[in-house]
Order: sequence, then structure tokens, then C-alpha cells
Amino acid sequence: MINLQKEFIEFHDKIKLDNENQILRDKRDILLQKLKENISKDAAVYTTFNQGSYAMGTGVKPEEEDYDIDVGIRFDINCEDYEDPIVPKKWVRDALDGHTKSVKIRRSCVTVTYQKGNEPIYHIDFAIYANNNDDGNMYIAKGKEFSDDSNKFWELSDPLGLIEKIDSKFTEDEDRYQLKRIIRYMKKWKMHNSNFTGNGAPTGIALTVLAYDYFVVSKEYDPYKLKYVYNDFEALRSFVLAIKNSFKLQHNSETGTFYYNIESYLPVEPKNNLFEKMTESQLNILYQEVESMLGKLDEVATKTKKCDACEILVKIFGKDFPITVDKSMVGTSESA
Amino acid sequence: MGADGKLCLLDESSVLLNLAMPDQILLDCFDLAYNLLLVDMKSDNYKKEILREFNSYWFASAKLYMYSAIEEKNYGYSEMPMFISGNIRVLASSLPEEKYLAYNYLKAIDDDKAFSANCNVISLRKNSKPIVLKELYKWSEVRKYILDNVSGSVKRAFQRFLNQTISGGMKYIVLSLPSEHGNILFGFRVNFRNKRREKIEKITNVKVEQVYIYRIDRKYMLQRSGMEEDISKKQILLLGCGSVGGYIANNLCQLGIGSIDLLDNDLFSKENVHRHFLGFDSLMCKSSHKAVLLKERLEQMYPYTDIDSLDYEDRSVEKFILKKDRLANYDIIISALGEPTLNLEINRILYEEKISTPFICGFNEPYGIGGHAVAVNIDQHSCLRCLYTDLMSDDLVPFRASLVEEGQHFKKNISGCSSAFVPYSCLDSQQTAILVARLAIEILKGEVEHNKIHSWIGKSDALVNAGFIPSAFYQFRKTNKSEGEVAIMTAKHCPICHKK
Ligand SMILES: [Zn+2]
Repeated sequence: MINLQKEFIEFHDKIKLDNENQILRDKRDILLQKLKENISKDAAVYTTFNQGSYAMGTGVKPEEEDYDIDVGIRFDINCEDYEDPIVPKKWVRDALDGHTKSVKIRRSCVTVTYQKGNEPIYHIDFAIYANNNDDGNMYIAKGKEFSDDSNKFWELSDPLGLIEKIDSKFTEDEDRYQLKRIIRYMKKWKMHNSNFTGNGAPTGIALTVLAYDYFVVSKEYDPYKLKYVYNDFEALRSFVLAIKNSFKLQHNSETGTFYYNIESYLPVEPKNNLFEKMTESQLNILYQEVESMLGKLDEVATKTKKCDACEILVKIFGKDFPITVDKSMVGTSESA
Repeated sequence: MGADGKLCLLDESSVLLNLAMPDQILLDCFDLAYNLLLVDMKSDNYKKEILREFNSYWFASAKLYMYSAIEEKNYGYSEMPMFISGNIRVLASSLPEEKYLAYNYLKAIDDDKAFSANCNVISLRKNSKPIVLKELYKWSEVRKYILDNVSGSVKRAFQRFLNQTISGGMKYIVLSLPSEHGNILFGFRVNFRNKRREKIEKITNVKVEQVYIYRIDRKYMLQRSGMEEDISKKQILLLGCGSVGGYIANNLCQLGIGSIDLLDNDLFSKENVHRHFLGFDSLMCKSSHKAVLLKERLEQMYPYTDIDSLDYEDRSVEKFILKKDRLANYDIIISALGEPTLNLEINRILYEEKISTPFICGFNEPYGIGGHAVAVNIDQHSCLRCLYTDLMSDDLVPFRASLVEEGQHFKKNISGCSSAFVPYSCLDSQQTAILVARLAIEILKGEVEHNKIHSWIGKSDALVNAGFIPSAFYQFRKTNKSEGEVAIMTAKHCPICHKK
């Protein structure tokens, strides 16, 4: 067994995208300023907040440099008064339209794609909410501009609820940091894995909720350093094992085939199964990929040389994972 | 009883006097004297007290003295040679040893006036009373005292001596009187001044003089070191005769360790003077090996310690430790090498070859922040490698109980690699050496059951001022005032003691 914690932390530092990221913050602020300046006089009063992985601290840098930020816009409206949820979406779209090449109303948000010169592409997703409802809950505006009415609706939503849940899962900061690192590792694994195509990849939120349910802190107290020392490798390995074990072999009586199913429910509204949109064959692929990852991690555990272990991890996560070699020397403060 | 024969009521070093009350001190002294006079002269306590004080009385009345290095045992009636040079008289187990002691330690002058004389050593029976104290003794009184207080066989042997005929001559008689606290030695010089040959028993023209005996035998000398006799039979291997090692060697010799083997291939140089037990004068010696110089110095200081500076294959520690019987022969192995690589290698050999010799490593940390004495191979639950093993893997890491943050470089390099040194002072080394010596003695006495680390925790100012960072462990121990010992925690992944 070798200690790969330094490598994992180095890897994490490379892939993480957090709210420290100044460029993203600037882009967001410019758009919010635009929104403030240009929003129609008819529009309701609103407040904004960060949501999504960016706000949760589980963001991962995109491989294609396609950064995204999720911003929530809470209009002080009652969804009963706006039968058509597209109306507030249009307030936002219209205020930002023309600012960049593309401002589009999509099913769950208004997306502004941002590209300037040789800079990377950014897109900022504005999720639109009604925040002054009779039941005290928040509702998200769903549907595209020209969807038929059955696809336009207000959906019960608690965008900050998951962040709160994740943040309050552990009282120790360091424990929570490990949880977030593990979520990022899983997202990176998903991104790097070419066997996931189209909607076949688990969503970031699905991986987040799996971690919320199954992740167990792996740490040990160092009596000399007088603090806990974290073992991300073990945490990851036991987490992946837990995911694998949560799959159930199911029989589809219509096609007569078996498939591996996994279900994971959002712990906040709308409490849906986050794997519900995946097809049976996509679920099978997911199961195989989880199993294959676990196999590789188990193999890592048998290695005695750092570089051998790292090479396997590069296969799982891509080149962002560093390859290091064992050092033959350690410093000493001893003398006599 | 003081040296001048006066009774002593108080030992100044055992009481605190209130000098503001001189009158009361005087009254209290009268009380003490009064109580002393009330003691029943027939009581056992009185007899014991007399016996205990006998030597002081003897000292007060004796005008001659001699040194005795003979060991404490029952001599019955023995005749032994005694070495005399001027007023230096030495009694030991053999004439060569007497000469060695006289010339090397007792300031005897090596000239042709030295000679040897015959000395009768006579062991008195148990429970014998001490001889009645007098200014002057008659030969008949001494004779009678001896005959009354020895067993039958000794009496016969002494009688044969008395039956010899001589015409004048000088005889020394040393009497060994058993007591609770070991034997009491006191002596006489009997000067027979008869011209005609006569039986010793019958000679009347005799001058008897009391001889006070300074004991320089090992047991007696070590009583004051607080050490048990059996420590003196222990064999110690000391690796490294640098700053820490030099002081350790001195401590152990002074404590009365019997035999120390020193191994170090380093040379003593002027740069070492202010950090080493050896001083500038050692630079003038023939050899410049630290081990040799240390041996010579310590042998001068402590006659009964057998010190050897090993010269096996260029004094190389690496080569020396390769043969397991060599290590197994010692009662304890101490490393003051300050080289964790070698220490861990010794640890590995001891563990893998199942050699049960306890192993202590002593070393300083930089800038006076502290030092450690680490004892391992006492139990098998942990080992030295445990302290250098990562918590999660078998990776080699710096000393985990270090008082400084890892990853800092402390070697100062003023003029090239050979003169590189880590800043610490001779006081640091002495403090570390004390920890090591104490731990060694505890282990030899069988008082240590588990592997452990003894540390001293110094100040961090100098270290911090030099731009370095103390470890969390230092801060913890400093704020919790937890100097002293901690148990060695087993490392789960230790490749030596937890090999799967
Ligand atoms: Zn060990």
C-alpha cells in the first residue's frame, strides 16, 4: 500500500473549479450588471444567487474549456399569477439579448454563451424562479419559448437545499472537503470516460447525490502531527464499491433482457430519481464503467511503486493525474 | 563523628537553619546533645551507630593511611603483597595492579625507593564488636582482639603467624569487620623493634600505629554513584563518539558501567572543541580518532571501566553491524550517530535476526529546540522504523515525533560539504546525553518494559529567528509542558515489525 494523498491533492488542485475563480466571477458580474441595466420595466423585482456545482464547491474544469456558471434569479412573483413560466424567462433573455452571440431560452434556464477573441467559451445558465408563492416554496420555470403548453410548467424546486445538505453533512470542515474532492474525482472520471455518450453519462448532480448518500470519510489520526490525515484513495475506492453495490440486476419483461439499475433520489425538491432518464443500455454501460473503475482502483492498491499506481490512475482520470516516482531520500533534522 | 573526632549533632546539608534565631539554635543543639547522651549504650541501635561511625573515629586517631582496592569478600587469613612508595601504600589483588593504581591514579613517583611489603588481611567473624577505640594500642591488645574475633581456622592460621620468629621488621595488618553496610576495613602498622630473634607473639618492643584505609575498590567507589553492582558487568556498544556520543560515554563511565566499546571513524578536529567532551588538549595527542581519544581520556578518569575503541575494518559502523553475533553480545546498543539511515539499518538487523539487545538512539534537533532518546527492541510491538513510517503506507518519512516541521533543511555549510553542520550547542548534546544515559541505566536495571521516546523540549526562539518552523508536536508538548516520555506508537504499515 502506498500513500497517494499528495498526488490526489495535486490532481484535485488541477481539476477544481471553485468560486475562487476570478474570470468566472467577472463574467457573471458583467452579465448581472447588464441584466440590472436592461431588464424591462414590467419585470418583477428579483434577487440573484449562485447555484450549482460552482456554488457547492464541487465544480470541475471542463476539458473543452467550456466553463459554465449557474446563477439563480428569484423573482418576487407568485407562480399562480404567471400561468406561462416563459414570461419571466423572457424578461431575462430580452435584457441580455445581443450582449453575446447567443442568448437562448432552454428547458430549465436561460443560457448566455460568451465568447470573446481567443478567450475560452463560457456559458452562464440563469435558472428562473418564482419566489413569492402561497406555500412558501420556490418554483422553477420550465419549458422553451415554443414548447407546447404541456411542457411549460412551474416545478417545485429547492436549488439551495442540496448545497445546504452537502454543507451540513459533516461538522468537520476537513471531512466536508474530502466529500467535495471525491465528488470532483467522480466528475472528472465521468468527463474522461469516452464510453459515456450523449445522455449516457451520469449527471454531476447524480454523482453528487450518490456521494451524499454513500461517501464515508477515510481519515486517520496522526498522534504526532496531532491532526487527522486524509486518505482520498481509500475514500474513493470504498465509495465506488458502494456505488457498484447499489446497482440491482433487473429484468425487463417486455424485452426479456436483464439490466443493471441504479436509483438515487434528490434529497430535496423535486426529489426525483436522478437516473430516471437513462436507458437500460446506458445503465448497463454505467455499471460496467463503475465496475471497471473499481477493478483499476483495486489494482492500484496492490502496487508497491508510485509510478505504477499513478499510471493506472491516469487511465481512470486522464493526464491531469500526476505521475510521480518514489523518492529515495527524506530530509532529517537529526544530528549528534 | 567529624574528622577531628568531635561528635556531630547536625549535618549542615540536611537541615535549614533559621539564622534569625541564634539563641534558639543553641538551645536546640543542647537538646540534641542531651538526647544523644541518653542513648542506651547496650542497645542494638547504639552498637550499629558505633559501627557506622567507626571509620570516622579510626580516621581521627590514625596517623598513617593506605589505599585498598581489594574486593569485598571473606579473606579468612591471607598474606598479600602491598606496594609502598613514599607515603603511598596500595593494597590490591596483585602487585602489578597496585603499581598501576599507584602510578596512574595516586600520584606515586616512579623511583627506586618503591618496594613491596607483606600485609596480613584478616576477616573477622560476623557480629564482631569493633575494637575499643584508644589513642595507643599495645601489640598484645591487637593480638587478643584478633584472636577473640575470628573463626577457628583463621585463629589457627593467625596463631601460626604469631609462632614465627623474627628479629625486627614491619608488618601491616588489615582487618575486615563485617557490618550491615558492607565490610569495615581498618589497619595497623606493627613495628617490631626486637634485635634478637623472637616469636612474634612474644615480642614486647613493638610500636603499633593505626592505619586509616581509603577504599578505592570498585564497589565502594560506586556506592555513591547510586548504582547497583551488577551494572558494572554490563557491556555496552556505543556507536558515534561525536558531541552527543562523547557525553554519553562519559556519563556511562561515571555511572560505573563495566565495559564500553566505542565505534567511530571520525577524527577530532579543532572545530569540534566547543561541542565535544574532549577539549583542545586532545588535539595534541598521537591519535586523532575521536574513539581513541575518548577511550584514553575516560580511562584516565575512571580506572575500573574497560573501554575499547573498536578498529574493525576502518572503524566502519556499516561493516561492523553486519555480523549478528557481534550485536548480540552486548547488553545494550546505543547509537549517537545522528544518522537515521544507519539507525534504521541496525533496527532492521536486530528485528530480523531476532537479536534481543535493546537499542537506544540519541540525537539533537536543531537550534536547541530539543533532543530525543529513543529506546526500541524492548518489546516487539513497535520498532524504530515505526517512527519513520507513513500513517497510510510503508513510505519512509522523517522522524515523526520531530520537534520541527518536516521538509526544512538545517545543515549549515560554511566552507564545503565536509564542514557542514547543524546548529546546536554543547548544552543540547549534554542534555540529550543525560536522557540517553538515564534510559540506558533504566533498561539495564530491567525497569523499562516498553519501547519509548524520552525527549527534552527546549525553546523555539533561535529556530524561529533563523526562519524555521517548529512542528505541531513541539507546540503541543511545549504548551502542555509534556516533557519526558511517550510510548512509541505502532505504525500499521511498518515494513519491519508489521511485515505481512
Ligand atoms: Zn515497526
